[in-house]
Amino acid sequence: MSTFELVQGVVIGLVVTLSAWQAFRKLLPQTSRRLLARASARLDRNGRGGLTRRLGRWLQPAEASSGGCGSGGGCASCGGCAPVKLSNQVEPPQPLQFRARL
Amino acid sequence: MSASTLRIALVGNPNCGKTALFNQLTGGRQKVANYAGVTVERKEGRFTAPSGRILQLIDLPGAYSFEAASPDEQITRDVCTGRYPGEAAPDLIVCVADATNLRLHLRFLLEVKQLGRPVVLALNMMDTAKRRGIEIDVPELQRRLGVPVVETVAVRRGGARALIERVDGDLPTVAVADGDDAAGRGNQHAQVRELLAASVRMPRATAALDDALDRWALHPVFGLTILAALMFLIFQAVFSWAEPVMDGIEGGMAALGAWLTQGLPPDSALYSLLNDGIFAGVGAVLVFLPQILILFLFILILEESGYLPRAAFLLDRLMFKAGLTGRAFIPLLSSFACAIPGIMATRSINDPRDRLTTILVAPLMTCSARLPVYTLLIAAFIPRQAVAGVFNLQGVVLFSLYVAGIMSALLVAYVIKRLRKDKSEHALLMELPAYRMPHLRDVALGLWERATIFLRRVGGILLALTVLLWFLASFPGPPPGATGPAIDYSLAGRLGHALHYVFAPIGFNWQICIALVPGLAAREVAVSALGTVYAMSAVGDTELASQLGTVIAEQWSLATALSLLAWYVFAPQCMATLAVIRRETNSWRYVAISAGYMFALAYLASLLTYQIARVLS
Repeated sequence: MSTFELVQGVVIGLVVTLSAWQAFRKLLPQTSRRLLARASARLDRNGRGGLTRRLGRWLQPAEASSGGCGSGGGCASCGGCAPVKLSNQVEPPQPLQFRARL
Repeated sequence: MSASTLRIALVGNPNCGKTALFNQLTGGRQKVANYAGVTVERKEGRFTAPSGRILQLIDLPGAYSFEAASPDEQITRDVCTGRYPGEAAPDLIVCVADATNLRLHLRFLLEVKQLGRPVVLALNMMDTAKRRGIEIDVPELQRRLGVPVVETVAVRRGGARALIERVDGDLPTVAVADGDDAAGRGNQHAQVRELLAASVRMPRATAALDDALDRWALHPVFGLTILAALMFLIFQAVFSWAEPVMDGIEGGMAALGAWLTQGLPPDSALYSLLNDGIFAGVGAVLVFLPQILILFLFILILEESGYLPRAAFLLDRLMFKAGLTGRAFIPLLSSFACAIPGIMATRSINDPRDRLTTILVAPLMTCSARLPVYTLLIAAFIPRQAVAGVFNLQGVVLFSLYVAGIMSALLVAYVIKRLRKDKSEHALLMELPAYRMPHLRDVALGLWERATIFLRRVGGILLALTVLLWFLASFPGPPPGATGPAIDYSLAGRLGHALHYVFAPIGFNWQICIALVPGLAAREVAVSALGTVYAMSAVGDTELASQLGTVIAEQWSLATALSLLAWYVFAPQCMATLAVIRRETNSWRYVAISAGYMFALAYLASLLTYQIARVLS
């Protein structure tokens, strides 16, 4: 295998992996956050090495500070943050309540 | 929370300028428009006052009363009363009132006072009030109300200075409640009349220019003609104005691709990833940015001007007959940008039944993600010729597709109306805002937002899915001695051929079938997927493969193109929209109903279109 083929393989592998992660993060935001939080907690615990703990902290999903996606802000678009339930934010009581008709 | 942090809630009737004030104070870029119901969630921002004190600002949805009827009004009530889950009541309430319409807005202030919390009244739009000759005796109003009153012009730089100075000082004393009993509430209209008589001189209730304009804009015949002409002009402009810039982007992308890959062997996988994957795929979508911006330029101008609620008024009778409430107009209009904010905007609809109907039909509105698909197919198959010597045929077809989306939404709403047991109707009651010259800054900010949203999608989910599609279309490689294009032997190729059995009756080839799969994530991904698939299917002529429009014009029949257009009018190809429907209805059943009926409609419409077009051609 030539050097070019080796470099090419690494670059393509990296780009495809990053793309898969990006697509996963965008399409399943809650699951990806949960996964990240779990991985972060496992790495960033007492008894782990400094580097591992730093990696754990780096992996910790950032808490979004935005109030939401309601009125055309940056994320008022498909694939935006609309379906995400923020961990530090209590869901406002807006789901519809449907009652059976008597 | 630190002792020097003050939590301030911005409340007021809808469309009084709360969000504009919020943006002015915090430097935020929340959407503002000249109609009621733009904000349906609480927004939070911070700014540091001149004293160094940190002010935490909460922008709340507009409410006419604390006797909340709709979900967005409930948020406002709950935050102000301290009943919002996980949030204490604000330290200070800034009640924003439209100075040109105090008769309505002061009544809500009286309700806010009854909460017994420190209140400041911000008289917003004072510039317009002065222009209209409205004289407000602010000290007298302040004395009679017993709360501090400041003047603001939220859309002007420095227009909130008086408010900042007031909230940066000592907290005002707790407002004295005027009686919390039913009689007290019923008496509020009389109190407002007294307040106005003592402190406001209003030459006339409405602006003379607005009345003159409304005589035409709200006329049952001329009004609808003006609306149709405006919509028609917009779609003509989308095609006519965007072309030079689109050509520039296309040329730029081609040159960049050639420059980046010049050192790579043409038969290498990396060359294919860059050329066939990224540049053919992402470039195919990026060229539509000018058309999207032109469309939004018009929408933003109409939003800012105050014309849109008039359009809602004009279309109310039609929507009423179809079983939609007039309040559905704004959510449906928002869905032209994207169904997600549209579905969320249904929170301003009081009645759960009307809200559900609106949620179910909102994805049928033509969102901006459909635009790349439409314009690609129209440019490839519809000749650029004049209709009636004036109109561009391509623009006429685009206009028809938007009308098809609207008509299908009305039709579905009508079917829902026929199916439901409760036949009662709700009349439209909405406030018509004063006409306003669009603010250049707000329009520019709105366009900037749209451009960044589009570019983020192109550089985010679209790029990621294009790379993944390239990978699936490249591996596994062809077996030794294979003669066809390598994609035929890949995972994506096999999937496309398998799906072809289902979609052959509606005229889709296997390349379209492949594109439909990543298109589920976002509709415009279908265009980038087609770009990648055709670039990889091309044998030899890579120049031709990079021109997606040219390729499909040569390889597809007109019937196939029309069938795909019909598919995209109905298909629910956006998972994020389905996720929001789940969240807003709290039910998977409605997600299944929504996705099911739209897929069924899409297939049926494409089948009819394809078979009829085939017979006719």
